[in-house]
Amino acid sequence: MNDPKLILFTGFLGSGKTSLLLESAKYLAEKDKRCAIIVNEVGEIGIDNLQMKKMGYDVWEIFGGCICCTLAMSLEETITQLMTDFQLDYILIEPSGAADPSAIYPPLEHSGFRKEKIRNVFILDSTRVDMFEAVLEPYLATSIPLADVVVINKIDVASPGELEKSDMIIGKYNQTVPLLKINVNELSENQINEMLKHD
Amino acid sequence: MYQNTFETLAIETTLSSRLPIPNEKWQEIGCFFIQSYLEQLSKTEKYVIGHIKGLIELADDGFIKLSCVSQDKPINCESHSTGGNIREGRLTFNGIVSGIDKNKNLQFFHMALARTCSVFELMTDYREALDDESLSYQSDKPCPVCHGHHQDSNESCDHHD
Repeated sequence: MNDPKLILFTGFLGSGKTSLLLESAKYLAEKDKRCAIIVNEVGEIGIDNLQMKKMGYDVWEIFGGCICCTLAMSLEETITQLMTDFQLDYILIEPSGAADPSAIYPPLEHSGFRKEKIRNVFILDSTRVDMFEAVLEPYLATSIPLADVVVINKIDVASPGELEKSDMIIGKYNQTVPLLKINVNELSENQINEMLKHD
Repeated sequence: MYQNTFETLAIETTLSSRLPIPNEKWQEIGCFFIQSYLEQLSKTEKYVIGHIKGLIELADDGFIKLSCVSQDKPINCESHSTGGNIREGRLTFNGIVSGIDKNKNLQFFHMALARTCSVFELMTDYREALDDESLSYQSDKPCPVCHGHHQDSNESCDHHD
């Protein structure tokens, strides 16, 4: 039976979603898991998909807009096609960093993935918490409550104050979500397992 | 959600050199270009960087990924290269920024590219592409001859005859 796990890598632009997705894909491939990658970028010429293809991955791209609004139908069609053509263990989705994560759930549900079948990994760039707080509060308020796990990234370059503020921001919007603090370039197997595990 | 606030400038161009360039030098070129673009951006008062990304594809199937989210933070540069000396690199650029119009963003890209080509003696096939929006931006400027405003940038005033 084709019953893949769906991992959503959400987070604002530049938070490290592509790097984390690539590390996850590499780890899953080493474990002989069959993965499909869906990437949505806001620009007309994608860079993340180009990088993934250069690294040897097959990638399904959704271009020309954002999957949270204009391209919701394309997301549904892509998932349906993937499920028809391939036996999969995982579907890894990277929505655009400008997307509203809450708007991605309806097309996923239409494709057979209810909320409890989705693992939403929200990635926070700890070096930009001041900017997030100043201009992106609505984004944080919408995204963080939906997260199944929050990954605080770039801890190797963030200041102690920025790390403390990252904790505070997450706690403000979701007090029960598990937290992982990482440097994506030095990710451990335990951290990847923790991030990807479905209850 | 923020796809209208943060506009993307996406451009592809080829950079070429008369002499082969080692991989380390391509990394230096990429970082210099992004740094130059950031310097241009900083001339604007109220801009917010979403994500500045670049990918330089090299002829030997190698590539260099460049990423930057703030002028105060170092540019992240990942190299996946076989290390050979390559004369040509294909640059794909995404500048996702809020607070500046697309035409201004295009100008910043252009100036950063011109500076990079000049410093590293590179040639580019990039030609400044003006879209409809930027044409209307052009026509907002007074004509240098009659100081009037033409609706269509191709429209000539009587003084031109």
